[in-house]
Amino acid sequence: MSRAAARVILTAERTLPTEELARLPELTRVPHFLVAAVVHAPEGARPTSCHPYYGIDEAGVRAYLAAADAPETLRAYLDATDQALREG
Amino acid sequence: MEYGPAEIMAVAMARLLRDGEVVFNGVGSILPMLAIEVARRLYAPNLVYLNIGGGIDARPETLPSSSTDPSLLAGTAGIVDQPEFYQLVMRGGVDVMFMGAVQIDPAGRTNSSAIGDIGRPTVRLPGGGGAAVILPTARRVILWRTRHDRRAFVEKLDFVTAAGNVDRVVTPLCVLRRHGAPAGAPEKMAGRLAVESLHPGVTAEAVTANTGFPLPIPPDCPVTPPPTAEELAVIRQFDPKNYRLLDFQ
Repeated sequence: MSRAAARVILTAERTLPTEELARLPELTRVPHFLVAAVVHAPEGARPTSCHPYYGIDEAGVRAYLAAADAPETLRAYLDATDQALREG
Repeated sequence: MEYGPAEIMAVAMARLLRDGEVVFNGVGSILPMLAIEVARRLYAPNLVYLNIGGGIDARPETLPSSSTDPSLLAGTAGIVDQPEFYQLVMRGGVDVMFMGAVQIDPAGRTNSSAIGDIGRPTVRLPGGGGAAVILPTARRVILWRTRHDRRAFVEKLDFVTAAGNVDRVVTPLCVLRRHGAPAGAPEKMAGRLAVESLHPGVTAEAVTANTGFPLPIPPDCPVTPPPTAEELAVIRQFDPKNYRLLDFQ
């Protein structure tokens, strides 16, 4: 998808110095010239998983599905999630 | 400052690169590697450099003698392997490709396959590599040839290896441009090569005598600006072993 898209916006659990990635260039999956922007989004995949940092949060997925039924409950869910993440 | 064909060719190629472009060079490409380095040090700092080994933005300390040198992979910003590269060029992601050729015709088509009949060649050449895919898909192709003579510039190719988006041809004598019909020229000249600039000290007669087809040369043909002191300094610093001269021996 990163190859087919006209613009790529990356979200990342962690950002690292360029030199650290350059030590093993073969591990870089999406090179810089294909990327329009990077968003530092720790825990950005929740309630789904991001190996190896965290697994799926099944109760969280159910809570999301319940909230996603209506715009008002979805809004409240997103606001609560956002606040929880900000407070760490 | 003194300079020769290698230096004027390197700077002529370097000046064709624009900042931010994605530029690729293939195997056996010492002069393009030198041109890319001159460009990014002096006027295209954000150029994205891909080479045949796959390294992105390789930064060797000095020019390697081979375009597959390990220094073109170590510490790079990623690896674009061969399938990945062809996907990239086919979807329009490569701005400039440097490509060599053994024969070049008036339309900028190339032969790097065989001399003589392809079924029974008198000389079997290295082959097209990816040329047949890259020439029509890279946005601009810069051909280069370290010899400008009637064996290289022929009216009819012995075999058409590749044809496509050839924009310029850089030789030891001049820079050729392939474009729409030159001003005042008949429509049939569209897509044909014409001289854009003669290198310093090169006459129109010399180019005509060494080209195997009629090549338009404007009467007030510009002269390729000689390498600047800055350009020559980069060349000498980056290529202390003079590998750039290998292709001229």
